[in-house]
Amino acid sequence: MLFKVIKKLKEENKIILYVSHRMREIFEISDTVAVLKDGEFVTKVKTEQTDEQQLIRHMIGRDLGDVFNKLTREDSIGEEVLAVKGLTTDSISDVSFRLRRGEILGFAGLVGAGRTETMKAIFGVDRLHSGEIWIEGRKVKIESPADAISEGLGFCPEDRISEGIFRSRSIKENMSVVILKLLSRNGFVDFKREIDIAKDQVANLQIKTPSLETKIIELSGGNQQKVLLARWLVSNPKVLILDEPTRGIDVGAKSEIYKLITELANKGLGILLISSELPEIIGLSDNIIVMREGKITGFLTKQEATEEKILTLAMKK
Amino acid sequence: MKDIIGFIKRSEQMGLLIVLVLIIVVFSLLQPSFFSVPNFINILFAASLVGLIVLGEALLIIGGQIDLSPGSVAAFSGVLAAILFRYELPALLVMAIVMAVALLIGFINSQMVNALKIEPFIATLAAMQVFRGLAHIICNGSSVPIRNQLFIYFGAGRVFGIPISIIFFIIVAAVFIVIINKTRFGRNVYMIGGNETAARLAGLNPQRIKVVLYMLTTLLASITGMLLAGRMNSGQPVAHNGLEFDAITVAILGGVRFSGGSGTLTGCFIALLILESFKNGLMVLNVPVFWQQVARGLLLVAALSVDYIRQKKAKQH
Repeated sequence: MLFKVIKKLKEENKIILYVSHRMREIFEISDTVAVLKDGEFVTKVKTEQTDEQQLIRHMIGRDLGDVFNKLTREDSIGEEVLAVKGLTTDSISDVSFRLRRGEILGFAGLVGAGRTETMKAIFGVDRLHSGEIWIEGRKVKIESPADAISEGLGFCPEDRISEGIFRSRSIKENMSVVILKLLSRNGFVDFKREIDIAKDQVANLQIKTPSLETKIIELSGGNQQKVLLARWLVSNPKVLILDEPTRGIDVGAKSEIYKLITELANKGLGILLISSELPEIIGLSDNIIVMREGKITGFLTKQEATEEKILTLAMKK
Repeated sequence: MKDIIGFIKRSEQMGLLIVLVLIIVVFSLLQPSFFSVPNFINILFAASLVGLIVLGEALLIIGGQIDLSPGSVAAFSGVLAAILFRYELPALLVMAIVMAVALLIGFINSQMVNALKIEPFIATLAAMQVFRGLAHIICNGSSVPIRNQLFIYFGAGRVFGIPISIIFFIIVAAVFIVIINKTRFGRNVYMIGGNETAARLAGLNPQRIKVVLYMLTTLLASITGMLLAGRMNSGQPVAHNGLEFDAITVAILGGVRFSGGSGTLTGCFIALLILESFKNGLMVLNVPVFWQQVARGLLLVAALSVDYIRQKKAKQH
């Protein structure tokens, strides 16, 4: 519909500037593509003379394939940190798996396969009908996100705007919300420590922001996501759940987030990663669980995993 | 950048201060008796009664809630106190009982919102009707005289020429300003108002915070009700009509965003003086009471327009 209007306007000799990070749209609609990176002009090319790979190279300064290849994974996978047994809720049934320290465990499947619901069950959002959650070999009772957090879990939700960020609040406040209890004495917030911690994270994760007081909604999607990651990193979790961590984020920021996830795993964090982008989940995960209709339908190691195998397991036969 | 943000924030309240000065100048020119110490004390006295409700209401709106019941609860509390004095109970005991009842009402309000998931506007609209009705029922619709000297002293007495209710309001306001700006509880009010889902996922307990906010607001309403009953030597079921709307007007005029998550009590304080000077000025000028109501309505529209313009400006920056 929009594209029709654009084409009509084009026939009337109007100039259209179309801003998007969706490659398919760019190639469908544009005659010329201009690439900007970090607020600077990179290049301008005729659309017919370029392809996706080349554009990505311009956008991040290298190939996306290289990005995954360059991620160095130390063989730091250790003992079991999380085990779930027979998890059953309204939308999933009998989900069991184990996560080890330093492991990135990917969850693949179609939308509605129960991946997000599995995470919500673990994190105390959805009520369990049955099943057990074990952390470091200890059976735990998680009835709310607050319980989950005190057991050492962290959760970056899929819908960043509606479930993740506090749009009217500063990036500093968005980062400290989980650990505010630790930053308070007798109920009073230690503002100096709060600022110090936020400063560290902005530097560590290279968050691009004019100041710590900037409202988070004013940042780009990639930087908002980094603030959310920072929120959990400062809480020093044992297990981090990342639900579609690169959705709605441009390619440059994506590669930074991939690097970050890998670094976290190398440091011994257990990571549950949901992604609907197959190259992403194959590129990042050590092991992959495939789900369909609320059940686990397959388990693949990094060596076994191909897009074809995952799709076969994810779709109904 | 920090300087720019600071400037906008300051200029926001600068705008309110200019309006306040303008109102005082205009009314003083129109009616010289407006500009006198006794009249200013009148303004501050009225402001102290509304102001107590503003404190609760502002926190509720910042937390994404609203309470329409304070006017009714204040009237009910005044009448209830007057009736309890018929049994020759000591003043402090009567006040304790009335405050306990008010806390219970606040708890019920919060449970309608938390447990029954009724919209705050609807839930407290119901409470507003119920307690206005009960205020009439328990006294058969006519005002109940109060003779307890200590109780009357709290409402009408002065210390160094300043009415006790003004002093009481200033102390409570100072406590609230510290709570909202310096404590973890205050921060969490902003966070649940900013995004309740995100707050829950970050380990906060929005429901518990809401219970506190609703209980605080009805507690303050009962104190307002008793202060006025003391001043009038009677509990009157028709008193405090529209009190909550004055409080909401003040909060919005003072920069509390109706959508929740932002606002300051300093802004509310200036807005409170604006509203009460305005009301007092119209009274001093003998403007017919129904026109006063029209003018207050228009002031609310003006407040919301300012809110809208401020939002637009904020987006441009």
